[in-house]
Amino acid sequence: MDNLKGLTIKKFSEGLRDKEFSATEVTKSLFDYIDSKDKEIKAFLSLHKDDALARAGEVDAALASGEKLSSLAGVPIAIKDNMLIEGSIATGGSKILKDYKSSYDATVIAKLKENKAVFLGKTNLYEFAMGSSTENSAFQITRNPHDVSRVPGGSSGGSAAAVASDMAVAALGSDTGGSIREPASFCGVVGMKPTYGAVSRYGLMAMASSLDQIGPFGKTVEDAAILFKAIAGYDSKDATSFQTDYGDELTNPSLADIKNLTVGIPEEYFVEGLDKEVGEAIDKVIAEIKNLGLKVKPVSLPHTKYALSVYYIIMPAEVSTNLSRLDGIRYGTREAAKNLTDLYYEDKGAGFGPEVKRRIILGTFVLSAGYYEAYYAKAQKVRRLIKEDFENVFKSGVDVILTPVAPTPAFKIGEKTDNPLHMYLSDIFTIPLNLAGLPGISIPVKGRGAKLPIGFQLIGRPWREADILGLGQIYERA
Amino acid sequence: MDLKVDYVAKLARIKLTPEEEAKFSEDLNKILEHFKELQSLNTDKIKPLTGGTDLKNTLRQDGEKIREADGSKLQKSFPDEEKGFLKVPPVFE
Repeated sequence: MDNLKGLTIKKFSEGLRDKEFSATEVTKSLFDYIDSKDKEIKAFLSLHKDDALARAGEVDAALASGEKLSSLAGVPIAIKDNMLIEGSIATGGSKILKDYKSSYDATVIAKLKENKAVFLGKTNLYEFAMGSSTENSAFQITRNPHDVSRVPGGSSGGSAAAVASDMAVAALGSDTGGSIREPASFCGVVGMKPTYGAVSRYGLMAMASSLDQIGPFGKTVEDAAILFKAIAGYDSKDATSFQTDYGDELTNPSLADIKNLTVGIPEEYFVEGLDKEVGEAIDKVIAEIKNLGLKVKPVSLPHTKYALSVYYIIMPAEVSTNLSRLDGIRYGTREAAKNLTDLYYEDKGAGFGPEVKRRIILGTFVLSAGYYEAYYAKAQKVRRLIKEDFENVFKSGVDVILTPVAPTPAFKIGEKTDNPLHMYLSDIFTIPLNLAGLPGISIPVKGRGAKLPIGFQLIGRPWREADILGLGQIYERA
Repeated sequence: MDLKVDYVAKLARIKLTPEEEAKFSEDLNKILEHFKELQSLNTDKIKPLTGGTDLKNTLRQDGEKIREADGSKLQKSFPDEEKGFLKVPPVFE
């Protein structure tokens, strides 16, 4: 099949309906393509060929019998390898779980199964979703499809690269400080982090529980909206999940409504360190949005510069707590040890990679007696100030905030591995949203041609994914 | 230097190589230096934000709820077992 290039959820479901192809044909051709293309990109950690073809076959049979199907039926999707699919390996990108088989389905997987989606396989990630480049996976380095000497971003680098290289029609990722939006920006695809609580995290390997959200990757904003709508909703198995009603406006925005939105541009996001090319690309987007008829005005988020420090206290603290379950007792690998205490030391020492260890040490330290107040409690207070900054801007009549996603386009592999602080700076524009629980989307700036992709970020009010998805869809069609 | 990596590694029950200890000590103390910027902010009157959500007490109605548990699926992921029980090394030598 030669129409895999640029195949979207929308085109796929129309083609399936009009009998241009069957789900089985598309799935087979995708696996053929992955077999050759992924030797270079290394986006996938495992392929679920038998299961995917069986599911595609069921969709074709259902279609033949006249069953009415969801727009995700048969759609070949890639899943970040920190989400569980019953009966298959889920590594989290870590050696400590290299043979771990999931005993249940994550809620997002169960929801996609109800929609009869097809899972191609599991994608590579920075170990336990902890970095901006996907270089530190225990298994392989994923490469950017636009320039294989560069990183795809991270931590959901495998999912972003799989969609960008047409190996998957869409994908799921997770975002704790930018892990969906930064790779989307680097790879030239759309990626959204929903409002905290919009999507159940049951069956997602917890990294930092007050920040983690699952979200969609798509080739278009419309696809991201379709996928988001399918995975959102209340789940009694995640105490932070929230009952919301997302209507048709997610996928069918009205131009009249979108034109009434006011867009805020925060001065604190256009500072030293922002690459000139990124700044110019964002200026072009702002001009285009003005041309669409939206009001644009400058706004201020004065505590932005503290977000990085706050994040690198709160996140490792939660990481050190969450990852203590990986102790070699109930699952995962088990090293030889003469007693129980030894087993903990040996297992974590041998099973975790450098960044995971670094964050566990930092998190344990900021929570330890004598330092808790100075670091963790202080960070929680400043976190409130950061959240209030956004609330004040939204109260002033702004509906959507527009910013860059990352300070630079994709960087070279190896460029930032020696200095963690440099790597951490890649997330300065995405972190504040996680701290404030807000939805944000990365959308490719149009007209980049052969140049490296650059994404811009739209930030919405809580539960107003419809605003950022709507404006995104109007922008991509204009 | 505030952060003694060998001491914290003991608290976290994690074994580090001497190289890791040296590298983390350098990296983490640099990062702690960066955190000092927070001290310039007066937060005396600010309430800590303790989580990502304003939801409170999301408890279900008190009552019996029977969940079908299939222990065999969990047992399959045990690293070591005997007669269906999870096996661990001795607590005391």
